[in-house]
Amino acid sequence: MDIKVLGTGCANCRSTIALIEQIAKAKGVPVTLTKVEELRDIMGYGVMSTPGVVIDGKVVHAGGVPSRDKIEQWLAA
Amino acid sequence: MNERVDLSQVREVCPTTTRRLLDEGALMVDVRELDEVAQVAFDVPGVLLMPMSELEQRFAELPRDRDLVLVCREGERSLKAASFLKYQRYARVASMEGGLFKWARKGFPIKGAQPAPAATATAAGCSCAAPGSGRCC
Repeated sequence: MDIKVLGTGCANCRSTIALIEQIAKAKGVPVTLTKVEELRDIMGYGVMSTPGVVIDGKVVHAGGVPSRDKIEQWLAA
Repeated sequence: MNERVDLSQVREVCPTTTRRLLDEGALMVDVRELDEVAQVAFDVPGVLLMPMSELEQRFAELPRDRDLVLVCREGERSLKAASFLKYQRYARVASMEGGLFKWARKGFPIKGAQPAPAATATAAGCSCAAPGSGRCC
């Protein structure tokens, strides 16, 4: 599963990455996690509010740290 | 949700170029929040206020057949807003680098309190096509 976290390096972006890593590890789901920090690349997804999360090329979240439940749903899909 | 688009670089223009573009018919779009505008505003006829917090809902109000120069306090938010408009397929978009700080430092007209001083502009920091030409920065 290819997961990108969009954000310019704010605390919420770091928390989002850490939370996804933690849950993926706990569930044994292999993920490729990438940070996208360049504004132009972030805006290429049309995301105004960060952090944004892109899974397999699709934006699934924008703005604020996603909830644990939400991440678990993504990883179960 | 959104599809990915390869965006081209947003054009950044200095305050002097911005004034020229305005003279030529461009529209200035201030993306600062209204409480910021209440303290100090660009004294430019026809400036359109579209705070960042409303941009996603209201961007369709912006004309596509006119040059738009987005402005903010320091040039960071306007760059982001301009990128968003590019994503929304606005072709005639630029961001004013340095924002209100640089605009005021150049002595260009503002309404309200003088903004707090920021770092001094240098020729090296100029984004104009022809720095040192005497027409810019």
